Amino acid sequence: MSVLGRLVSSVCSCGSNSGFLASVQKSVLPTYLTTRMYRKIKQKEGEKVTVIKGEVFEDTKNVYVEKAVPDDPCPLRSRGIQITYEDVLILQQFITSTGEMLPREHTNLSQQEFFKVLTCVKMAQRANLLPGTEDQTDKQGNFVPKLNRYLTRYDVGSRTPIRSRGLQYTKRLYRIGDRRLARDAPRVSSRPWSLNH
Amino acid sequence: MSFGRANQQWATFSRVWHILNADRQPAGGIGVLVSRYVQGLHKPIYHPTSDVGDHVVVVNAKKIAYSGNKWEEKVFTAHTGRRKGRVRMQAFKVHELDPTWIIRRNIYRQIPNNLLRRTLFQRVHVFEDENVPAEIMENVTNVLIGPRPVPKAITDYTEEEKDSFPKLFLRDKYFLKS
Repeated sequence: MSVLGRLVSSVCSCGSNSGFLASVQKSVLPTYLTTRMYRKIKQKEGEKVTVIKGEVFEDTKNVYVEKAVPDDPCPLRSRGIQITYEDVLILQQFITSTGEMLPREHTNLSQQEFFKVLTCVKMAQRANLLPGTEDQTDKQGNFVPKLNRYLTRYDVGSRTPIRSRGLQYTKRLYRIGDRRLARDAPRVSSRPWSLNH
Repeated sequence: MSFGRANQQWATFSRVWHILNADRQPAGGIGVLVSRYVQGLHKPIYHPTSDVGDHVVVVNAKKIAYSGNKWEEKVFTAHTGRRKGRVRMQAFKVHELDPTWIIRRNIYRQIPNNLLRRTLFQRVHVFEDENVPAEIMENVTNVLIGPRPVPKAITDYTEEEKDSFPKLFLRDKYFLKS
């Protein structure tokens, strides 16, 4: 555990996509191009015959980064990467085009990192940064208008209104963000992430 | 007699028109920023009794953002003074009725509570869209930057940027791309 911690701390941690490439190139991790095949379903309808094929394509533009800790199967933990909900280019790799998460057996994420990625993906979907759920309905079935929001912890129609917030010393606060991410996510200033408003 | 000093005087005491885009910006942060420019606190010649405040035009007020689940949880209350006169409305319903109400309330409350508040509030122009009357757009000379740095969506990145971004895990040999 201590060895991993030391190795992970030596690798740079990043919060935004722009800092990732620069930080990785500065470090010793080599990058190389790989070619991978992937399949896509194509459907052709003729007069009497419909052909459904799984065509094989070659994906040549794959820039892969080696791990700092090769024994660790988790792609985020082995490279010392801490994500926020704004890291859309990293999060997109772990979801399908409709917005569902890929299974853990496929991506080899550890359980803690998987839940971190899941919360980040959900927050990004509610902030309209990633493709996801388009329809938003309330618990009673009323249509909720699509409004701009960010750092939403709970589902859109799932919260009831707070009519009385209470006195200063027993105030009921609005919950924002996620506690696990605020504990681990990087920040330039020493002020901690705000979780309550 | 040189007239350069007169021009300098007029330039320092002139009233400037600023414009601010409220797209995906927090409502409270906008109130703080706008009240600061409307009072004239951004000027080194500031004094509350000398009228040094500027005009501010706020655009795209209906695209404002709230952090967390405040659109459903936040409740605005009012009372008419009569019996059964209490009105309680969630934030998204208030925004539906009047998209400029939330911003205007925040700005009004950030200006200090004195006799200057109403005149300074008249110099704040809030529009829900980007349709601003030409009489006001003629005067605008400065652009203000919002308090929140807006993050990029996945659709804002080009294909080259997405392809050149490094992959964190190699997919299975024959992966079905959906």
